[in-house]
Amino acid sequence: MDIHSSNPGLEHEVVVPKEPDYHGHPNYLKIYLTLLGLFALTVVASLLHNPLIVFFIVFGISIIKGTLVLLYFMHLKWEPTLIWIMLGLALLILLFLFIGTYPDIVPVQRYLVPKA
Amino acid sequence: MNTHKKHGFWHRYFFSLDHKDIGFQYMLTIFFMVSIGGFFAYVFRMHLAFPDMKVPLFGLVTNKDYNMLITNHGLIMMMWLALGMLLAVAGNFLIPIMIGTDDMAFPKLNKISYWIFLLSVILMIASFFMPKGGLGVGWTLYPPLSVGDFGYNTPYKSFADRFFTANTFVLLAIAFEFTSLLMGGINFFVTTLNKRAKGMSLLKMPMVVWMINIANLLFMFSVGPLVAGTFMLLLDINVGTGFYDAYRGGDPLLWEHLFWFFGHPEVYVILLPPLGILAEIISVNSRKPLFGYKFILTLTLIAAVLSTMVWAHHQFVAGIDPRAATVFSIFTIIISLPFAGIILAYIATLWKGDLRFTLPMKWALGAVALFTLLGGFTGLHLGASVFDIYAHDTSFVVAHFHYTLFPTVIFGSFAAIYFWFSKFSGRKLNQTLGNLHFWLTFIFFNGFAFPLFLLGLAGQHRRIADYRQFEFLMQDPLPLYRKIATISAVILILSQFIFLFNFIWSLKRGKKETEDNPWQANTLEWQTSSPPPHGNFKVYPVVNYGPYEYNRPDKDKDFTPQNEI
Amino acid sequence: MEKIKKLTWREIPQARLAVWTLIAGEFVIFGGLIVMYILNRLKYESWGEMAQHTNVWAGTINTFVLLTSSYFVVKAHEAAVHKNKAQIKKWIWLTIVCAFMFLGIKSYEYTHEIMHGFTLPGKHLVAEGLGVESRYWSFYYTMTGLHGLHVIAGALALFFVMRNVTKTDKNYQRIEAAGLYWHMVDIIWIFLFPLIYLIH
Repeated sequence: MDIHSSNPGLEHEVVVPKEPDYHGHPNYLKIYLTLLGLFALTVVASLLHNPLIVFFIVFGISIIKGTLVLLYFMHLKWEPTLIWIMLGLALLILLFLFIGTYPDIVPVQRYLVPKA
Repeated sequence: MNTHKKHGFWHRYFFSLDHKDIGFQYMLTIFFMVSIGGFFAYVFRMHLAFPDMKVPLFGLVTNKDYNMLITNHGLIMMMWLALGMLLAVAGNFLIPIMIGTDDMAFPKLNKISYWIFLLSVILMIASFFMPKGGLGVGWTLYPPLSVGDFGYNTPYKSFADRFFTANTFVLLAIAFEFTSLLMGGINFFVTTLNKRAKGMSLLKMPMVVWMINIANLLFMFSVGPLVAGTFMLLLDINVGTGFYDAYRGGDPLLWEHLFWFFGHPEVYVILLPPLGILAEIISVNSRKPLFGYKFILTLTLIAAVLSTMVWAHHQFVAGIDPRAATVFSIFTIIISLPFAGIILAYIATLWKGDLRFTLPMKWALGAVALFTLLGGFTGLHLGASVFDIYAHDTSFVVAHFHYTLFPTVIFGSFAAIYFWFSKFSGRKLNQTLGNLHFWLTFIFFNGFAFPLFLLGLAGQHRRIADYRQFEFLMQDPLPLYRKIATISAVILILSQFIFLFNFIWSLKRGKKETEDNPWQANTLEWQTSSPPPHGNFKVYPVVNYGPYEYNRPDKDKDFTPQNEI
Repeated sequence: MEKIKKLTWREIPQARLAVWTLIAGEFVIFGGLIVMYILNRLKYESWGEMAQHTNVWAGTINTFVLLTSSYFVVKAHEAAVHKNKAQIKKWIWLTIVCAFMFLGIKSYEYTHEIMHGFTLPGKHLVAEGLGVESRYWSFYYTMTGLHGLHVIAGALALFFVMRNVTKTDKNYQRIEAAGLYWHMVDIIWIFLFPLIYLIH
């Protein structure tokens, strides 16, 4: 029942691109090595003793690593703005959730079990 | 194109890949769920008005039964009827044919999402028959109660004892339903972006396609935290993780936040598709272009973003930060502006139009009137925390959300069914029965919901099985109001049988629809035969006109099909 | 790196669009969980003590394994562009081996922690008056467990896509779509690792 052949009158050509290579291919090895370098830096930084510095270094590097994977391994750099908007909306919504929930959870001390 | 082959029962109702068939599968499943939800409503309404009576078809309602009935009524109507009808059914029937293509982008995914939906329905039904009975914790599933006696400091329970409970099954059912709708939503989104007919630019899409897609994306973005939250509640019940266990420093308020973070955008997810359906029907039946297409679209997008910032107005008395309550109040009141704008645009569409009071138009006008006048305006009151603290958890709230959801979900769905029935079945619905159905529903819906406002203002709390324990609620005329509400609700439910009979009878024996375009509408689904063949169009349309170009001065007839040359 | 113009939204193939939408949805699901964890973490400083009981070295090796597997997947994708079946098979099998390594190390960690009494209901901890701290382990097992399920799902997706593509010799774009999902699993781990293991 193969009725789902592509529709001849589409707004634009889609479905199976003749060439799957729709985007650039960066030097994957270089990106990979950068990621490993950053990763090593994270592990070294976590051995430091000042928790605040560790926090900022570790999360800064995580964000850089995540962005590198997104941009080059997932080719987000070449993807349409639409995809950027969708991912941005996801983060924005999480921000709303965090801000709205924060005052009711974090500063509030409810009933707790006393420590032994 | 393809020949329209006759397929067997299983092939058509279970394995079909055609979007119309899958839409029909969803619709039948949802009719089944609604009949259960409606029956529950009938039983507990009868119990409230006549506490000692043995309810016909059910028997004496105990307090436990009562809790179970209202919980499952709420869950079924919100999760399966509203979300299912307006995302899955409307999306499946309308999107591919209205954008002029043969089917969904991923037909197999569409089929699988129906199966998962069916699985969720089966789990939901199974939850009624668990050893300890159905779930009776309120449809919002607030934790200390929904975790039940599986908390940390209760005696040990085996895994089977924990798993085979209504709590677990209902949560699993909800999780599967969300999965199904997410898969469907991705499918609709890709279909809309990638498979539009030639010439159908985004701004030439019918409003309903826009609305369903915006609703889908909103659903996708707001449901995520609740999926995680549901998973956590499941673990709390079955493994004892204690996420919401105050004894171990957890916070039940966290669940309320997660639930309403989805729950509030959800009412807009439910509202947007009917608004799209109303746009189609009002424009066709007033023979005028839709007033302010881009204006409506912009307002919808603004409302969609705003709707993720208002959720805590459900929790004003739950012990949230009062400063936050003020912020949420303000956003709640702001969000009424875009919707007021959209409704005004619909009224402007009617203005000086050549109105045709057809059946779908009656439903549409009824929906606009009831939703705006009683649902929307009372929403403004409840959004302000000062009033909400007084009215919270009273029948006033119940009346408010029935006035918002009933006109949009039920009236909107009926408008759509009366509008598109002849297209998808090739037969006409009986108009006399349809009129009878409309007037009975309209009158008795008001008869049911309006007294609840008065009862709520008199202080009647909801979720109470027997009001005789409160003397002030038994003073005249409150019991009378309760009886009016109940009798109206019963007639309202009975009058749906008229529709059911009309639907089934017309499907088999109704008058044949001879015209392809009985309403003289512009959009693409009317430009193919009724019922449409497999693959929807014999010749794929090329779009030249917008969806609402009625009464163009350069044409002889008062409508211009989108694919006219 | 050659200059290639950015796609417009009209040109994106539908499989990729669907997977990106799915990824946005998954981000919200995991993001919700992470937001809740951060809120609780900010509230209870004592969770830092519990974080010291995690096996940082196992987590570190796992991060390395996932980063490497991500590299293997892009190599598979590159091979898919040239329709080189042998290369596709090689890189995807390597990825699946990485997935198994990840799961193996994870189960070693779980065993280790359960043997030290950090179980899910945390009966020991609650008995010692560490009820609040026991919920750190609830989050730990839920987040890593859910992530583990995604690892399994991603590996299965890659396996079936590879089998399908190498058998039928068409639909090469599916390798990329499944690969995108795998990268998402990697990104989630990149954020889970410091959140769970490194912040004391």
